[in-house]
Amino acid sequence: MNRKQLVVVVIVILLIAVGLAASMGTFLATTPTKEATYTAPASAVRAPLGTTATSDTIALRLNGVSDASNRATRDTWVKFNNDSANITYRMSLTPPSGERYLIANVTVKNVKSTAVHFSDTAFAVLTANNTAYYSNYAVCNQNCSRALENRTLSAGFTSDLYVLFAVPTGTTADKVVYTASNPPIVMSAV
Amino acid sequence: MCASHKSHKGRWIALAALGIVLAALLFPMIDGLSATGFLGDKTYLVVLQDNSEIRGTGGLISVVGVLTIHNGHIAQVHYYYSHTSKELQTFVPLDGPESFMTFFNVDSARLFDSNNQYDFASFAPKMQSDWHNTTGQQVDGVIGLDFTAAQAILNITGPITASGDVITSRNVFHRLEYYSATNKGDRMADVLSSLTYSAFTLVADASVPQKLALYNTLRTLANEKHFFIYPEVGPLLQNADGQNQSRAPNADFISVVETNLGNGKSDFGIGRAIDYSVQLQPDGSAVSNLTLTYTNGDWWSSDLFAEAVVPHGATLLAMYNSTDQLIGPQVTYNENFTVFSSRFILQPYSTTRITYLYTLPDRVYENGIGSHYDLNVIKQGGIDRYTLNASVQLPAGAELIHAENVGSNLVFTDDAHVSVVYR
Repeated sequence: MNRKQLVVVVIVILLIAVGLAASMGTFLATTPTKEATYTAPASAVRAPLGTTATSDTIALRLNGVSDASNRATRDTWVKFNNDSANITYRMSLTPPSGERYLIANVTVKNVKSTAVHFSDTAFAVLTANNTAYYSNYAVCNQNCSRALENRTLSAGFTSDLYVLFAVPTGTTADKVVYTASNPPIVMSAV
Repeated sequence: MCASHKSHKGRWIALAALGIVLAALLFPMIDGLSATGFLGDKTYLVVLQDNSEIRGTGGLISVVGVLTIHNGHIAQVHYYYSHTSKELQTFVPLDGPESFMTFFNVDSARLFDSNNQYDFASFAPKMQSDWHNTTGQQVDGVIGLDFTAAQAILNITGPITASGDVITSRNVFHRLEYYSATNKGDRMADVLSSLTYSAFTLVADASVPQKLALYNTLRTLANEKHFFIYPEVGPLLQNADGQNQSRAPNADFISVVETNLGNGKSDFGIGRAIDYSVQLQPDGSAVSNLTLTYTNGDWWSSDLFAEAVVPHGATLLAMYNSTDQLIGPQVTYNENFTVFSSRFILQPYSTTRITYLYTLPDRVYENGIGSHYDLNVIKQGGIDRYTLNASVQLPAGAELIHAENVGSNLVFTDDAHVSVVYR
């Protein structure tokens, strides 16, 4: 191989290396967050906003979804969190850059005559394309917070919950789903 | 010299260059293979630090795991929860820092609460030795990660299920905070265990781009001090941590180390700014005005202890603060640095400022180009971001040649370097 050929080979190798590095850099810089998805089964109970849907053990009504920066929502959240039997955890309502906090106001009722399992962690906000944002934390009044803590609703239990979801900035809730009942409950948020 | 001799010499040089390149590639690889248990099993302590309750090394120690790796796979993993594990509840002697021990008049702490050092690199060898003294178990190293790291790793691995809950990068932070605050150590250990297996599965089974994405994430986390490995693994995964940076001679530095004194998971609701104004004197000394600003965006008050670590020889001239709920300043010295410490309350939705005015000897050095002033701002592990407002006033008559990172509202997620050259 003469010097001219060597120079050409070196240049080609360098170009390939630069191209690979650039495309890898672009890939790494744009690696998207792996979000969860949820597709409700055909058997899911569905309810429009503000109406009650009943499943095997519980009935749920979505009263609305608002941003945590909403003054009234924030004040209620703070009151519930302060009233909570478990005041050892206060949750900051300042979202990190790139995210917003949505708070769903849900009324929950035990429809059985015995205690039933219930977990606020089974709530998720769904977007129109079924991206699921599972709940971060939930608060409710003093009587209810112990039930949340124990994940058990006593017979006759009914209360409002505030359930918080972290979603990317610009995301709006299409539905709120409760995945732990049989069948799941899908409530329209709009 | 004849042509054949020239050619032989060229070959030897080429061979030597190739040898150097191969060695440079192989040594880290051997280091990496050794660290991942391919050259004999390796056992690590995995320390999960809750960085919404900040501590010197990055956050309150919530869970500690013992992880054994064999040929790149998990051979065994067991997690201990801080509040229930007798090992982590054991009292151990503190070996510093003096600023903390003097302020609180303490010389021992429970093992899970003994991470009061200024950085992880100082804490890790002590943790390794304390663990050995407490349990009799020898570990090869200490891996530290915080809730931000767990969040970033879940970005790559995707959602996991732990204790029946779906954990995603969007909710892991609050779930861990809640588990930590309410003593649900079993659930926290479940999350960390699932995350550990998920990350190792990704390393073993994922596509090359996914592996690279995970590697890139770990490097970024290491640079931003949310992920630590002690001892460091070759040059591939090195923590900044203020230990391995090349420093300009006599460089000025600021390292603010905070401890949340138990008013909840507040640190991600607190905005932090460092305002630093330095006036360089003709003799190379400096007069510094350091203001720490805390903006509490939370709806409850926060109790903070802040240590401002500055160069040896600093002399405090005055201190101002915007709150009357403050204890301090305490000034401590050693051969490497001076520390100004204060404890104060941040009221809900309010701003607190603390200013230290001090002098510094010999902060400017000369070389052929001119006079140099360098400032290293060392970010505390676990802190997400801070705003730096830096201003450098030159001696009378001096002419600025070059300035870097001087200005207002510079936001950093890692260490910052301010540099000024003048003549």
